[in-house]
Amino acid sequence: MGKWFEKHLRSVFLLPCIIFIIIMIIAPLLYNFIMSFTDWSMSIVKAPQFVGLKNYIEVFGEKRFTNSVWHTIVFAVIAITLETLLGVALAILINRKFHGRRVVQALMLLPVVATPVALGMAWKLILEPTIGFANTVVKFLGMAPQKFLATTSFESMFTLILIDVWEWTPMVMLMVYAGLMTIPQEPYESALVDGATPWQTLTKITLPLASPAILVAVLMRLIDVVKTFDIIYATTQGGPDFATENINIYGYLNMFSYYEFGKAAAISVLFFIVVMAIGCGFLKVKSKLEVEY
Amino acid sequence: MKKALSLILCLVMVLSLAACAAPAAEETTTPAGTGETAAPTEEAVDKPFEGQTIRVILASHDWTTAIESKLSEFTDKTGIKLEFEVYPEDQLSTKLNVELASGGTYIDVFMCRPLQEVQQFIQNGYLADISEVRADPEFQADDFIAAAADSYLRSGATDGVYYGVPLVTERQVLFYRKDLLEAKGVAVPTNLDELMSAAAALHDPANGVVGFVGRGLANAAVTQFSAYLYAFGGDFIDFTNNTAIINTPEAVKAFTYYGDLLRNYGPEGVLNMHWQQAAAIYSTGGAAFCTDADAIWQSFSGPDTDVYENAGFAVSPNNSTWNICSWGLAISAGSPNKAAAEEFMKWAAGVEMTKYIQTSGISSARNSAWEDPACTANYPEELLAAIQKGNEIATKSYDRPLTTSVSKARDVIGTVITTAIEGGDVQAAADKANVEFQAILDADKAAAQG
Amino acid sequence: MSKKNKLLFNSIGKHFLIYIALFLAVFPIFWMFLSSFQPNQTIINANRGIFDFVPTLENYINVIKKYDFLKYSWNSFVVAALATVFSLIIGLPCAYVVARFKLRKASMIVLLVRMIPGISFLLPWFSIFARMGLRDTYTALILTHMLVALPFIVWIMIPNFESIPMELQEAAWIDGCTQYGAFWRIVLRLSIPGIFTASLLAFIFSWNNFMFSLILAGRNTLTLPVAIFNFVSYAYVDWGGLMAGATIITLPIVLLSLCLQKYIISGLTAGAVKG
Repeated sequence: MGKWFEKHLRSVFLLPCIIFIIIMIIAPLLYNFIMSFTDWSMSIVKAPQFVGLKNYIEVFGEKRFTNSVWHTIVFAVIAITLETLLGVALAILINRKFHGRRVVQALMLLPVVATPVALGMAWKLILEPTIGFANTVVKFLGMAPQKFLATTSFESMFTLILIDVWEWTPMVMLMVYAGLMTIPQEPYESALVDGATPWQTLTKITLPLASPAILVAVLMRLIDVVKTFDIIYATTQGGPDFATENINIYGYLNMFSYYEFGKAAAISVLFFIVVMAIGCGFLKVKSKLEVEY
Repeated sequence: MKKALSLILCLVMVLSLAACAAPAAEETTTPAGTGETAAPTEEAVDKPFEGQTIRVILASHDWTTAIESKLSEFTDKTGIKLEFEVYPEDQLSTKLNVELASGGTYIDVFMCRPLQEVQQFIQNGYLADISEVRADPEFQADDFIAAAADSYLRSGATDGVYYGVPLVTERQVLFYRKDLLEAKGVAVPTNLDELMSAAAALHDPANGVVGFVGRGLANAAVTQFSAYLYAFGGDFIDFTNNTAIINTPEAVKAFTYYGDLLRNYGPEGVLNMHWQQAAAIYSTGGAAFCTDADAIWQSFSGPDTDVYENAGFAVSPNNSTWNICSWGLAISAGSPNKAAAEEFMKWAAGVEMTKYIQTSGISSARNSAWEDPACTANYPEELLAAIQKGNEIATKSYDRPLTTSVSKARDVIGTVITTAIEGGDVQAAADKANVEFQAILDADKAAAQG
Repeated sequence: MSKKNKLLFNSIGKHFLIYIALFLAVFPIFWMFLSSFQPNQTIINANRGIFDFVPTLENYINVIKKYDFLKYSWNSFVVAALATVFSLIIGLPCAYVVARFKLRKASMIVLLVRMIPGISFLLPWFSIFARMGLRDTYTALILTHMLVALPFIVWIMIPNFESIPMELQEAAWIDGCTQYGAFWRIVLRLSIPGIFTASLLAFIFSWNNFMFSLILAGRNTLTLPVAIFNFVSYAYVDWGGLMAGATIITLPIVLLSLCLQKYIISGLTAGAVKG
């Protein structure tokens, strides 16, 4: 017994976890995959009809779908750019000794760990055009009140992006900060001897050496940001006029508002493939980095 | 190891497919408690359902709050235990969809919205035929306001099968501020031209008061916009040939009017306003006029608000109001405790309980409750008059397109409202939306027939 | 500008920026907290001054009176805690062999879980769990929440285990310890801080989960976020009550992370750096 156990340690350790995950996700995955080839209004008296690739063809022909893809991409690009720039800057700022650094770190963490549902409600109140605090400040500064989420223009999308930036920049900051802490002192010392400017030190030493951490942070965010759901669901639900509808929200609406399960399934299959591709890229980059490291 | 893994995989696949591919018809036992085990004692004759438990899912609604404290009386009377859950609209809808689509064997009774989801539910086979409840003479099914009760018929069908009972009704009313109108010497508007000019006269954003507030959030605004659409002589659908008619001259006039009203005399950020936001503005004295459903009058100018003293109510301009059933009660087709569920329905929507609930200010669907002065004592006089006038004159029993894919249709129509409020090309937007709306209608018709 | 002045200026600038960032990060949560102590009529009054503030406990009294929030908190706690414990039991050995034998593919499966859009789980899961008689049970909630917790644990523990020098384990084998014994007596013991971090994060993200709980929980097992969200009612938006509810949902997590921030930070940053 003990010997067998020892011999098969690898399987014994690995399998419970892998099997659990497979059991839990295989049914939903397969189910969605199969249903994506059917037409089903979630009826219990009319069985799903096999329709081949119809859902996929329909989805690609829909303006709303292409718009939602576009929104997802725009959201990801802008949010991640801002989060990275701010996150790196903050990480560099915080990577120096100053009074109350630990308290600052702890408090900065709150947007990441607080319950998203609660945060959604808080943001809704703050951004409420008439009674929200955001417009109170805007008016106090003597500017015209903003519409924030209440417009079909890009402003509503941008507002959501800012909320995402607010929520996740601390995460990027901390990941980059962890990377900064591993940079040895020697390069800085020799730079000082060579009389390098702070800017040179930053661009020639700090950033290149922190780049693995930055890259991992970016990729981790990328996986999550394309799936953004909570904050949109809690605030605009994709509106007004679909201006903030991303792929995930569009899939949700198809399933629970429009009763088009087949189409929703097709969307989630397509979506899954894209996220998978990003994830594979992530792992490739990560293992490459680890080799170089 | 690989073999074992692939074996497990196959097994799981088969199991999971068997479990989900056929969500329909499968015997399932009661979630808790079984009936018919009690010995036939004297008590069991009085309480034939003694020991049964039914699961009731309700919406976060004043109706629910009113009945919650009475639920124990039902258990005392019938012996049926209640396992009830309450969810807000969106969550309720998601939860119901998932459970009903998997057979609905764990739900007995639930609240649902006739104009929003009931037609889809009927078509999907989620709802049980409740003719037996209506057949009970004590239940007095004839007492229901006919339009409200009929919203639980399958649309277009003539089989006379009812799939639920109405609980709450709504009409659109005009809310106005007596003090503001008096100060400027403006009369209560009775038609749309008067409303526009009155809103213009009272629009004073510099002093924190706008002329008019109303729903501007595309999808949500459709139901309040509809009264304006009817006022201009338009409608959503021409039922004679199932044609979309939201780009007719009448409809375009209505869209333009509603858009102009909100753009010129409405508050900031009106495009994101559901009734909650509109109510926040009106109830704190930020607007002179508002149109919305009477059922939520307490949020607009109830005793807790700043405008209660000066609250005025009138029937919608042009007498264009609708009279709809906003919430009702239905029984799941998969319910294993149908008899007990019917018992609950008879009790909760019965004459006695309806009167009790209406007393706390929730507009019911029973004529007897509206005729009983004791049940309407809590309504402001003007509001009651507007409601009774509405009950009398309303010709439409829908405030949104009557089709299965309501949500989708509302989203499409909402785009025109958005364009109108933003001051864009309404005709172009209406033409575009009409094509999309027609496609929805065609698809719904095909689904209903196929 | 003299050098001394410049240094001073730099220092203020540095602090200034950090404190601005801190303010922005904390303000929305602070505002939620503040609003929860205001009467609704004050909140929705657009014409109030910035500093008008009438503190009241009414919102909290309403929430506590209306909802059995002790029960819901207990439900949330049980689900999150047990999901974490079970995830540790199957996740730690998995992370160990992935780290020890460099099984990249296996770690991919764990990452896979994070990639699937959550809504595609809802219908099949409900269907299966209901058929197994697990609707409205802790079991169903714990199983699904494990899917939230497990990736965190594995993901955080892989680099953690990788950082433990092989020499230590080899020394144990020489002393007659089995591989299993080395894992149990040496590796796990050395990783306690990491395990603690992973558990904390798993707990927090399980607590925060909304959709899975909404679908699978029932009257007996409703978790705190789902139960309190009922405040969004049909006929009345009670912002004060909502904010009180939101505060109650988040408070345990906020307190937990403030007290144990050191561990959480090292957890969030796992994967960014090796070791």
